[in-house]
Amino acid sequence: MKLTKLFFRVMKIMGSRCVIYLSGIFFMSTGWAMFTVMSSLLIKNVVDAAQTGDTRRMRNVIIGNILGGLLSMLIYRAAAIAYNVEAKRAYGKLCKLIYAHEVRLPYTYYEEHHSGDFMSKLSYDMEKVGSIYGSRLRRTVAPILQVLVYLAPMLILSWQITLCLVGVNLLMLLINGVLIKPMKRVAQDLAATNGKMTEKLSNLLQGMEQARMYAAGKETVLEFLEQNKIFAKKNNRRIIYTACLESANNGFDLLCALAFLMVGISFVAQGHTTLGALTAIYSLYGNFSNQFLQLGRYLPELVGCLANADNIFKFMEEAEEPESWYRDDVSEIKAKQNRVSAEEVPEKRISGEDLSEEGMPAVTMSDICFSYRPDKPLLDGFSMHVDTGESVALTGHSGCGKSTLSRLLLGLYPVKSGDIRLCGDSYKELTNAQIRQRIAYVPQEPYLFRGSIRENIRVGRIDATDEEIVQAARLAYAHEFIEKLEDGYDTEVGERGGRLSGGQRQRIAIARAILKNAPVILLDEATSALDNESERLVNAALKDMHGQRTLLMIAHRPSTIALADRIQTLGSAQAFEDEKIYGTD
Amino acid sequence: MRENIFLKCVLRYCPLFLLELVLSWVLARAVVEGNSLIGTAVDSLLAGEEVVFTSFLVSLLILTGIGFLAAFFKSFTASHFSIRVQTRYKALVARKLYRLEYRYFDENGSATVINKMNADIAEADALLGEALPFICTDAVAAVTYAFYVASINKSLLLIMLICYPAVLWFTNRVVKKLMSLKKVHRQKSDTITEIAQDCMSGILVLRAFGAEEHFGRKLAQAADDLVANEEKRTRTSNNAILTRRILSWMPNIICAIYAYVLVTRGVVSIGGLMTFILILGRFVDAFVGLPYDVVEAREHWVCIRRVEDILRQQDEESGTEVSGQRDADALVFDRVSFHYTENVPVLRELSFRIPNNSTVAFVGDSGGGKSTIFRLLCGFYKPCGGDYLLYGKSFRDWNVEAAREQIALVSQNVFLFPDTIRANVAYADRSADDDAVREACRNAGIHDFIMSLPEQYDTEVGERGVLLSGGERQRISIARAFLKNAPILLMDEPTSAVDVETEGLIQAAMERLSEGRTCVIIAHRLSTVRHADKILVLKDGAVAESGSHVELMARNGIYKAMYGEEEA
Repeated sequence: MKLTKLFFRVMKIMGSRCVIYLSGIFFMSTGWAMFTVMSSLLIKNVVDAAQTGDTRRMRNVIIGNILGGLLSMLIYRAAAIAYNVEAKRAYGKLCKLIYAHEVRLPYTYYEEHHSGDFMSKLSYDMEKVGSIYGSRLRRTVAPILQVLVYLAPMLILSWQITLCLVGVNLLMLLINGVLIKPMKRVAQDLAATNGKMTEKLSNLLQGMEQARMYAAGKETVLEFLEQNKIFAKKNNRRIIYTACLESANNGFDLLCALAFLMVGISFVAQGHTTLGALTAIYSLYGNFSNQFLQLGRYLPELVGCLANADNIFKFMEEAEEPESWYRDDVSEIKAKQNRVSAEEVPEKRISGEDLSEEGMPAVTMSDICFSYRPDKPLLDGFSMHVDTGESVALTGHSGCGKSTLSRLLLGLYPVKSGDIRLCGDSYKELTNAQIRQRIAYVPQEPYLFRGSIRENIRVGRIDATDEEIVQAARLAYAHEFIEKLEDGYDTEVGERGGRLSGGQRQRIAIARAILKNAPVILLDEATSALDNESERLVNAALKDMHGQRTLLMIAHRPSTIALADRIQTLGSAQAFEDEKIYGTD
Repeated sequence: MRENIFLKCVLRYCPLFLLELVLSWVLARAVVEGNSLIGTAVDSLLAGEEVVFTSFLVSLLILTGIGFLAAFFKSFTASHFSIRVQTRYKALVARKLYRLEYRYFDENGSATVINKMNADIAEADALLGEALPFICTDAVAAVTYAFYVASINKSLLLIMLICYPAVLWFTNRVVKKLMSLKKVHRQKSDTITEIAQDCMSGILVLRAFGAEEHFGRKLAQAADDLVANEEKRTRTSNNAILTRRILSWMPNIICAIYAYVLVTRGVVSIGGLMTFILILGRFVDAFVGLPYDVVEAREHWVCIRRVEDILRQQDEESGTEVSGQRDADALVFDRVSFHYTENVPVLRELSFRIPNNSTVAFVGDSGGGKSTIFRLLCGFYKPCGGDYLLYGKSFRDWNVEAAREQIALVSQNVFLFPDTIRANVAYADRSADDDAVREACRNAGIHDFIMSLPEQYDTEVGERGVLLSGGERQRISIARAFLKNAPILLMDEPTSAVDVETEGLIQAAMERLSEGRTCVIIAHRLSTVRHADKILVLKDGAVAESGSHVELMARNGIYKAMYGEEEA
């Protein structure tokens, strides 16, 4: 019951195009089978003509058969195209649905699900569902349709012989069924051994340096050789099963064919049927038998894929990140903020005018409480304040919640109590999208997307011009090295920006943040992973921004901390130290 | 003619292969004989003679019996042959990988590229297990049927042989076209996965910049591209399938009609016509299947060729020296030059001497050759000029394995095997008991962390150790070095991010580890090497300055400048 439901859900994704798709399957299968029927009838007519010598009438019939064959192929072609196109369209639709959903989940979801595993699982599931559209369903349905198409003329030509043949086929189906289970078990066993071998080999390859430096490397080779031998030994059983199956298939094929012909000839001798009909049945029988043995073979696969579809649907039901953590109805605040942003004049920031004089509060956090687990409070009544144009360094030992703080600022989690204000507005009065518009973020790991350097900087502001991108790169001390690259700004950065060094990636990430032109720039340990030279350049870029933008830097490198107007320490001694050095505000 | 090791393996087991061919022939013959028996029966029936079914039946039963047996043993020998060759081939490859010159791994890029090898070797399975037996069976059957047709009437065979090559040629083209279209399809769907993967891995950036919609559009575009390409592919491939199907039907019609003409002329009997048509069907099946099998085999062959490339690479050189002179300096470079590519020298006549139980640090800009020195010290590469002495003996004379037993390497990119933490530490010494492993971890300052994990030492580290942070991985690799207990220690400091606390832990562990050992450190941050007996400042592949921290600071040279920069 559940399976049928799943199946209907899978079909529903296609919408009304489902009708075209299903008719595609129907006409594709029957068209193909009709062609075979036509070619068998042709043979029948040739043999009959040879026997009776009635050439003239036969010629017309034969031409009719040929035209019939061509027609069924044309039907097949049209149906096959409709079917394939619809199948891919459905898959494309599924991709869009899933991936659009995928980027909108709450941040905690990504933290809880390891991205690599999760992605490969998801794309595996999707591929399986795609294969329902692309082949599985057709493979399951086609044998039934084709067997029916073959059976009709066979029964008409000679029902007695045909029924005998169906009987023998049932016997073969039985033999196949008996052998399938032990074969599956052996195959699983072999796959396990093979998996072990693959693992050994990939351990050897990936850890080649270690393998050479430690004696265990040699042992890995020996273990591989051992598994290899076991694999060969275990194969013996599979070989026997396969041989039995092949012997049964080939032998029965032969037995059937010959016995059938003997019976047929005796029928012909008694005048029950003609020689031509016999030949036609025989040639149809080959196709019939092929399809007959496929009956039911693909059904388990289809069912398996439906289980994958279940995973996909479950994933689709995961709640997306709300527009605001604090309000269900955001239309009101959206309208209000739109009004404000229309009035706002952003030119000041672009021109790089000194903002520090204004003394406007940029970021205010008051009495923030947050914890991942109720028993372990991470932030307990934390407060801090950053003025517009100020540079503040946030330090603290690892695990004290620095990175959490940056995620709270980005609105990736809701605060438990307390309030954050950005440029005067409470987070409770802003949508998550609006919050993020006001912060430019430079993460510890400067993630670059596949594509060119230009595209990567442009992520900061999608509608930025090329000039603005170059300008941002200059400010981030990235322009010089980009220009030196062969393709300049069009250089492909590779997977995760792998073709660039860590320092180069970080500067591009900073350029991206500069381009965004947001009131606040938030840097999360932006220099911690860099070598001396890169660190110097990144620090230079930060220094240039000093006073022109509001900078909040989470840092532990002394050289970076030195750039700040003020240091705020997070952790147990926070309040005390803060007071001691700077006084309260 | 280059040596082909795969073919050699095949030849070794070729009797099995020949047997398989013979059995294929027997099976095809059984089919032919059976059919001709029927033909005779039909003829005698039409001639009005009495057909004695019992005598036919006995011969038919014998034929089917032979068929059953031949099919069984054919499959049996085919599988045996394939397994034997595979097993041998895999063993050769595994052994080779361990002895291969290290240079090969560097030149051929990342682990992922080499990982392809797993897939390549699996292709050998597919070639031997499927493509090759199919080709053999089909080819043998086609030839057997052709001979039989010739025995009915030579001109029939001639017509067949004229008609089918055209079909064969066309099929071949179609198959190739389909393959290339499939490749494009693969690329397009990879693009989608790549973008999606990017979105997931970079979700923090994506979220922070509100770029969800931008990437959503990119994905939708890629999906539409895929569908558009698919539409084109479907049209082309279906046209091809259609044409092929009709083209291969034509010879059938022509042959059948020609045979019919021969019957009306009395050259061929009706029984002959019937058997001809029956055999023709089987012949076409075997014949048309051939190009598919061949193309598939060719694809497999490409993969096998890649493996062959590896098998043909040089092995690491290895000498006979196993102990060296213990009283000599542990490591000596005597005017060593080295380059990866001609005319781009990495080391220029570099000389240094590292006495027993001293600690020496290399510092300098990245690209100055520091990592290369380690590779030479481990014997992954050989000097292009000059000599490298390990315990007073030239490394060339050392047995490579014995030499590496002297050295423990803590490298920057620590590889952790997808196994338990215990197994990962014990990689240094498989015979080590639990206590030894714990002791090593305690020394490496990682024991407490491991005990805080729910499954402690039995915790599985993910592939490439992704579940552990850089600092934790580094310390596990230090634990390995403790367990190996070699007299020489090479440490490549981590450049990657570790917080102050972890840095302290690693520092302490490294200090413990260097006690009583000859210790060479590559430092990326100068603060960590102040205590070294000697610091060598590398510039452009040669030593620019050397001395202790105090001496170098007094000199006011490169080192002091670097130091000042770092402290700033």
